[in-house]
Amino acid sequence: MSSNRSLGAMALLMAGILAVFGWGLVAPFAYEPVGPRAFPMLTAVLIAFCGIVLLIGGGNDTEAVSRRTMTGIVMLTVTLLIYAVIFERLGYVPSTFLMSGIVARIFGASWIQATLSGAVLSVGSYLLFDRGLDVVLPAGILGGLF
Amino acid sequence: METLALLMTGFAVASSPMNLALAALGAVVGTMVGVLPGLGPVNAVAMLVPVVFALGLPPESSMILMAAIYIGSEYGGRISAILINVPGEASAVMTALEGYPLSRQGLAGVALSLSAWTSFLGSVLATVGIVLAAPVLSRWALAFGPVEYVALMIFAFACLTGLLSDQPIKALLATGIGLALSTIGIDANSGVMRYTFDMPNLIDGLAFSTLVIGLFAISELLILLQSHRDGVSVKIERMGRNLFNFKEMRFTLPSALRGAGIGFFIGLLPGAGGTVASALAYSTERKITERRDPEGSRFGKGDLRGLATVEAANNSASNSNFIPMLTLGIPSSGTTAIMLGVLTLYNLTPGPMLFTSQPELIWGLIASLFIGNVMLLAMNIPLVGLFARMLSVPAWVLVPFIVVVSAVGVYSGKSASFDLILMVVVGAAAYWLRRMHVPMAPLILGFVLGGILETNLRRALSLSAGEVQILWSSPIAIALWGAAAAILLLPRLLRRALPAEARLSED
Repeated sequence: MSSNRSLGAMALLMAGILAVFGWGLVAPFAYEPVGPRAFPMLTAVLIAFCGIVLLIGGGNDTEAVSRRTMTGIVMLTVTLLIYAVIFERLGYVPSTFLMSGIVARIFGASWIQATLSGAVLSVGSYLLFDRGLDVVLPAGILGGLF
Repeated sequence: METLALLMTGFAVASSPMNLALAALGAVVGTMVGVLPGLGPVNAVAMLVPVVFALGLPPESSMILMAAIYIGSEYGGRISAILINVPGEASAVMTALEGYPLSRQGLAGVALSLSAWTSFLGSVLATVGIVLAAPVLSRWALAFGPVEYVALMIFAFACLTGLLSDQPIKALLATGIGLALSTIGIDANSGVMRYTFDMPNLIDGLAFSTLVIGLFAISELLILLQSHRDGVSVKIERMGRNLFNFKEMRFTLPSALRGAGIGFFIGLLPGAGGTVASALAYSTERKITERRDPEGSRFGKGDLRGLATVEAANNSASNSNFIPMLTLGIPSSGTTAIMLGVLTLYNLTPGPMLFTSQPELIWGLIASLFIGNVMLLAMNIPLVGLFARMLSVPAWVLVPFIVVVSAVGVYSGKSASFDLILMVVVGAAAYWLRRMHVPMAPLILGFVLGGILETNLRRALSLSAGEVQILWSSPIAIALWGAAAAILLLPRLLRRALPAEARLSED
């Protein structure tokens, strides 16, 4: 399937979700002629229209990426997702150290560079934001240390 | 005279020590981010939205900081375009076209200083234009009721889809996605929960800063990785002579002035901005030169006039962009849409009323544009070598740093892991959309304007008890609907006028 077709299919799917979950949006007491449902429905129609045009038109203008790049993209996304999940549980400094090290490796750093930059970045930014700028960050498992 | 007095008030606000310091900070940070390949004004401003909030700044100070970052990254964007032929954003493509050949000829220093000067010229002329035009427009805009607002927003979306992208349907899709995302959360009029899927974190809707950072910072990192792996290595040319001379300045002055004029008017259109302005100025200048002086034209091989006109137009448009944003509450680029979103976070409704209710904010911002531009010129000519060194910061240092600033920013807003996860999901989705050439500016504009559009639409239809005809019942509304229709047809004509390189979708 061409890239524009899959985009169009996604758009139709999104319009479908908007319509299905939006259909029941009715106010218990209506004070005005237009309720909470009309605008989401208009949006769904707009998105569905775009989806249909893309499906019919087809075409492909996504430049190909190498397999190695694709793995990198997936690895980076997963790393960031894990970072988001462990951010509060593990605490800011350890989770940032891990994230930063892995991301540095993905972008071509050596193990030593990744470890050092991860350590400097995690501790340094914690001191800057939490201590310096009063942005409260989760202390997590290292709670007693700082 | 009244304007002059207001402008003086503005200067008083902008030159308080804190606001001066913020403008200087914004100018430095903006230039530094702008220099980094791939990162442009949108990314710079987006990353700093939550930071601005965490600092607890009053609205005028945060606007001054963001404006300085915005203008600063426009200055910075030309550095990577000229030195390594990597435009940070679509509007710098034209800069690279003439600037890079110049630096290959050992004239990098001249190209950089001359473009700083013409950027300054364009910015300052456009800011003078703001001072003259904005109060008049805002008085006119007071006549706008809900009906006119609906028509105006349709016009803005039409501009975005019609002018910005070579694939209007994808821009329209992006607008639709933005509008759809804006409906998430509790509906203020009826109290009905829309698309919250029983998640308490979604009751207030998607957090603006989370969405913006996901769209512009996280997706950018994925793009960065793509170009890092598939791209080529960077080699910085030598600087050569550091400053342009008087002769070069006189030689390029008419081109710069023409560029500034074109940029100013293009920047007024919602959705157009620097990309269209620089492309139009470039092709105009090239035509003029090739007609008058075919022998002396070095266009494509490094012509100072091309560089001068492009930079003047780009910066002039980025400044005149503020006019529709401030007077009508309609941002004309992704960056001004973000600034507008920040205003709404302060519970300020952007639009003509701001001129009367918040004169310190408006005039402080305008005055700070003057101050910021002077700072940027003063900084950019002597320190360009220092900024250029940002180009040799390796990606493995830079990327974790961007992730940290983004995550801390998002977390500081609500202190919830939910928003961090949402940020990554939005970023991944945005990367996928951007690879399909779906532009991000209409998406954020749709999100910012969606709420206002819906409120005005419902208000207008309440006035008419549900009669749809009210939407085209006033002369202003009819004119705007007509203009919207025209602008959707215009790109077919414009496309012939613009060189192929301009047909990039801006994101």
